[in-house]
Amino acid sequence: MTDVLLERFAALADPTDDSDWLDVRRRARRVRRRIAVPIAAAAAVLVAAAAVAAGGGWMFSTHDRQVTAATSVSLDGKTWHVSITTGTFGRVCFHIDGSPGRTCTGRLGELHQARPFGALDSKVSGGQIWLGATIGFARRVVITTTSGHTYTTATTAAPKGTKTPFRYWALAVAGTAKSITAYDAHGRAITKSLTSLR
Amino acid sequence: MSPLEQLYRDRYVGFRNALAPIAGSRDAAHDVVQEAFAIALGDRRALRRQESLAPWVWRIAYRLALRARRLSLEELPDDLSILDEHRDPALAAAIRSLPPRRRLVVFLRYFAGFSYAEIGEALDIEAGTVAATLAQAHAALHDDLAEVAR
Repeated sequence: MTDVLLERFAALADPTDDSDWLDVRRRARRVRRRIAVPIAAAAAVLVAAAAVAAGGGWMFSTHDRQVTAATSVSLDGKTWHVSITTGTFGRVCFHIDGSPGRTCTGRLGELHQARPFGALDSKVSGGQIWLGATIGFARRVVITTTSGHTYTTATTAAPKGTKTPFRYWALAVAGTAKSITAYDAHGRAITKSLTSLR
Repeated sequence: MSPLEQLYRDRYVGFRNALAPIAGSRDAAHDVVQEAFAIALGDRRALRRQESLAPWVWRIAYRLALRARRLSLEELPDDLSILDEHRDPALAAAIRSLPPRRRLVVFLRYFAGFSYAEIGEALDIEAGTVAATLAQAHAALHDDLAEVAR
């Protein structure tokens, strides 16, 4: 089937070759000028603006339509750097320093079906790291572990002008999380049990 | 010949054909491909960092094409007027019936000649997802083409 398709697609495609490498090179010279001038003028500004702090220890950077939020969390004296990237075809990618690769979800809707408050976790020595990109109402997130300990953090919005609707949070907890509670700006709570999700 | 020039000479027609439905016309796609390769050539630092050139240039071109039509990265246009339908009306109709995202994977595979790994890198999805998407597309195309043949 695929070979037949290959032949049929070849027949359907326009075979005209109007390539022009010299034109590419001419255009590239213009691109270099376009890149060189603003870079020289704005290098200092770019260094400062490449990553924008947003409070709560979060740093935000943008690339095209992708927004990456990064912070660090500590457990038992060890620190992990974590980041969340949103925006690629509506996907959300999480990365925890020291873990292989990234974990990416499908669209955000799928993420929220999978875990409450946009959360994903990773097992680390002595506990878990939880991080999430949650919808706007959640101002504080509290995780209760199976041993009854609670861990809390405020959610952080991206700096003004950054195109992301999410508030970000990260927590390192000793042991295993049992439930997550999010509080809105008025202190109203929504609690989600994690037992049914494991 | 530099690797980028080699890529251009090998893949220009495929890039243009795969981008034409997104850019809106063959001429617009030509302009997008020219500009994308020019940007790649002009950005020497980024060029040196790239392990796979084709997906990188594709992403540049894809964004240019969407920007030219004021579409977001999540949107894929439905306009397939670029297809030379009279050569294979059944296949053209079958392609039209594919969801836009699956259609894009098919175009990258069959027009631009991308490998599964290159498609995965270009669209930021796992190679397994590419394989599954192509399998679904093949099944859909197969059904549509079989129906036409009946």
